[in-house]
Amino acid sequence: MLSMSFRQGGASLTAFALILLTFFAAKSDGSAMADEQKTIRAVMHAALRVTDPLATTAYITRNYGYMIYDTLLGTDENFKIQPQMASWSVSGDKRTYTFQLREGLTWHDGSPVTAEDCIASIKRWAERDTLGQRLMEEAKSLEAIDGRTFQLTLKRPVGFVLQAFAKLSPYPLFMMPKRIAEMPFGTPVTDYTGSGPFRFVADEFKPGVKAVFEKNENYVPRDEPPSWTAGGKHVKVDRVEWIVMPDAKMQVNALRAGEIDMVEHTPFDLLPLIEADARIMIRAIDPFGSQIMGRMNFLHPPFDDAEVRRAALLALNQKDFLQALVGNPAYYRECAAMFICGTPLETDIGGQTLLNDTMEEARAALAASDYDGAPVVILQPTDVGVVKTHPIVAAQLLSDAGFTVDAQPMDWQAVVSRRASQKPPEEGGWNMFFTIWNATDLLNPLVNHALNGRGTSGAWFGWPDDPKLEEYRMAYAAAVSDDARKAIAKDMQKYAYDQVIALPLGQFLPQTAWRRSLSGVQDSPIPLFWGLSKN
Amino acid sequence: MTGFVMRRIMMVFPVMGFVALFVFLLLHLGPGDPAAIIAGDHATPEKLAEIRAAHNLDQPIPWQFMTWIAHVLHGDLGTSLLSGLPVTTLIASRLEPTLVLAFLTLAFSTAVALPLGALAACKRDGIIDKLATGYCVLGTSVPFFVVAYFLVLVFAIELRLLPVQGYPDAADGFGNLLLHLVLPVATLSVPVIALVTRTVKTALLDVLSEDHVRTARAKGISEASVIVFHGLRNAALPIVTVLGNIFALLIGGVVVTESIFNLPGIGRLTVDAVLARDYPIVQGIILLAGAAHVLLNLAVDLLYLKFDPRVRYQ
Repeated sequence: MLSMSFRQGGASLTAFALILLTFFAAKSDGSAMADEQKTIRAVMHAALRVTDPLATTAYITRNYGYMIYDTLLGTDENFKIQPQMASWSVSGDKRTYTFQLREGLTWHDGSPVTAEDCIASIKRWAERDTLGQRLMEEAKSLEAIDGRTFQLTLKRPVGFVLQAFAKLSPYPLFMMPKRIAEMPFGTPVTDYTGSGPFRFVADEFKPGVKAVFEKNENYVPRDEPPSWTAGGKHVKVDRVEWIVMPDAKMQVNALRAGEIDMVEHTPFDLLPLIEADARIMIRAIDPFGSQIMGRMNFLHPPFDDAEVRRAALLALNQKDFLQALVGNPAYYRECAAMFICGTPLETDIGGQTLLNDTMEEARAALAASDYDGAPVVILQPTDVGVVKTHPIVAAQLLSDAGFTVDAQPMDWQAVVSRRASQKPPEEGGWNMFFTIWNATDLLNPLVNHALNGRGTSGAWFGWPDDPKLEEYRMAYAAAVSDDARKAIAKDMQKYAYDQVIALPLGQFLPQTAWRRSLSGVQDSPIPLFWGLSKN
Repeated sequence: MTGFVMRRIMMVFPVMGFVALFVFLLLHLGPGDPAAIIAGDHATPEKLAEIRAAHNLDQPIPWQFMTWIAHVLHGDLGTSLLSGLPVTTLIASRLEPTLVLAFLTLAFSTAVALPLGALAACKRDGIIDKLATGYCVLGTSVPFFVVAYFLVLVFAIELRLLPVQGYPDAADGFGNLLLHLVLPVATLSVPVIALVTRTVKTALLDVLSEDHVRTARAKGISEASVIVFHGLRNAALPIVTVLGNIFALLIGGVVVTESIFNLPGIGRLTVDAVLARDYPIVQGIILLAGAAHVLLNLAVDLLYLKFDPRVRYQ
């Protein structure tokens, strides 16, 4: 027994010594320090899985697009459209737009960016993007003039050409090499060649785990200071790693320990853990944040009746939704603007009831309607933090107003599947669901999908069939002055509230946390990695 | 003996066939539409039909199953619906962390549990036995995430001795990799040690009360030799069975531990694929996990031959 104890003791000592050795070997490895300063590790809000920016509206894929692709035009922090890859001129009759690529633009493989590449990219984009489709309907021709110049000729003057080319989201117009742009849709994009400030490191890509970007040494930034997607995209680090960390608490722990440099969206309930940490900076870098949105199904009772929809609108108020999701008023904003508060089209017309408690009016309106007590089927996701509180709040408020509510729990992807069903609720359909939109997707009538009135063939889920909405959108598209656009947007919002087309349930500001060793973090609706440096 | 081995091997095929069919039906008959998930916010009926056609999701279920099986038999598990990458590539890229974690956990747990269980059995009702029993109850009762967060708080946040998370490339330093695995291995080992300790103790107590052990002691053989050569060897069957099952479980992916410590293993891949309704990945993983279970059980059965000669004659 004694000899056994000695052997065990010896083995334990050896194991302990080995652990100590490996510990100090790793700790004393200073060679990695220099590399550390050239690599930014960021935990993004979601995992990158799809690498075709036109195959999905997922924000992470859009953000990936901004890393490796460049855009013809950019949008700056004043919503002004600026040249990026190209400058432009417009003919006197406003029907011909000529775009000229700046000199020195090359793809990641070293070949020059040409006008033909851009035309192929525009055509691919226009197949997917509704604004692009509308633009192509207005286009008479799109052709190359020379290697660096191309021309878009319209059938009639419209006011949204530059807006479309510079749009932030969804489906920004990224430039791709012609060989990629001409691939049929559905073919996975595994050629990651772009002309953006970063290049994608395909060998290190692990979907759902990590995406790695390296500085594009051949990129020629513009001279202007960076501002959103406009200006000079100066990359100051060698490498950016987007790390997926499924556990939110460990994101915060890893940030505190210095293992990562940034958490794009820090859960609100974990912010108190790091607010007092002097090494960490917390700020909403996206000035507009996201909007909670409720959506009714216009195809089936009871929400096929505008009176019932109005009663439901009266029952809901933004404060309850925002309190449940965020809690701290510093991180949210009650805002009835369908085109987002803080933007040129901001107005609260028609939506004041969302900012007040109007439950009594809701009960009266419901009692006066033809509502027969049929259950309202609400899709209730239980697994995704930013969407799981809304159905619970809505169910309570609608019940209080007199609705019979059937909240059906499921995971978020089941919601995503089921919301696409146009069947009646009792056959696997639904009456109401909730989501969040990044503000950039709602900025005007042309990009705001919730206000599309093209029914079952083209509207967003819920499928309102409302020609008047389309008239507003057409008018906005044709408008050529800012004042005219504002007036149309205001009228459209008033009408949309009257018909209860969409339910904006408040704006909240996701908080980005980063270590103070990072500098150059820019405020922008899109997370930008150019301009960032690390000490 | 050859017949025993052949019978065991032949049983693998119907079991795997059943697993394949079960997994396929479970996924395809369950709620969720990959086409709607791929289409995202622009899921018009036309686009959904286009996506379903592109991925053959509009074909009858039996046709889809037969097509999938035909590809599987050729070693092709299909491609991910979302990323478009081959499933075999995705699984291969996630195997290493899971295997390393499983091996280290099993090795560490066995190294601790074997002597602990033996000591508890030898000193029955003594202080060691009572402590071991208490640990076994605690170790199997405390959830993984509680252990994990506690270890991280103490060793990574407060003491700053170990990293919080991650799985660095072994090529960048094996020591660094080991350091990153200390906390996950410790977390997983807590219940595994408890389970194995209890198994060792129970099995050893049964053996130590048998006649041949009494005879060995009467012959004056040292207590250590009695425990190791007469006790543990004859108690090996249930211990090997438990270790085999634990290893198969660990290979199948330890979702919570992998998620907390950000280890890019099979468990996380499985959960991600299930949530995204990425059928080919889920089917591929469960098929491989089923194969791992079946093959490990086969290996355990074969080990029976080594440890218990009676099996050879049955």
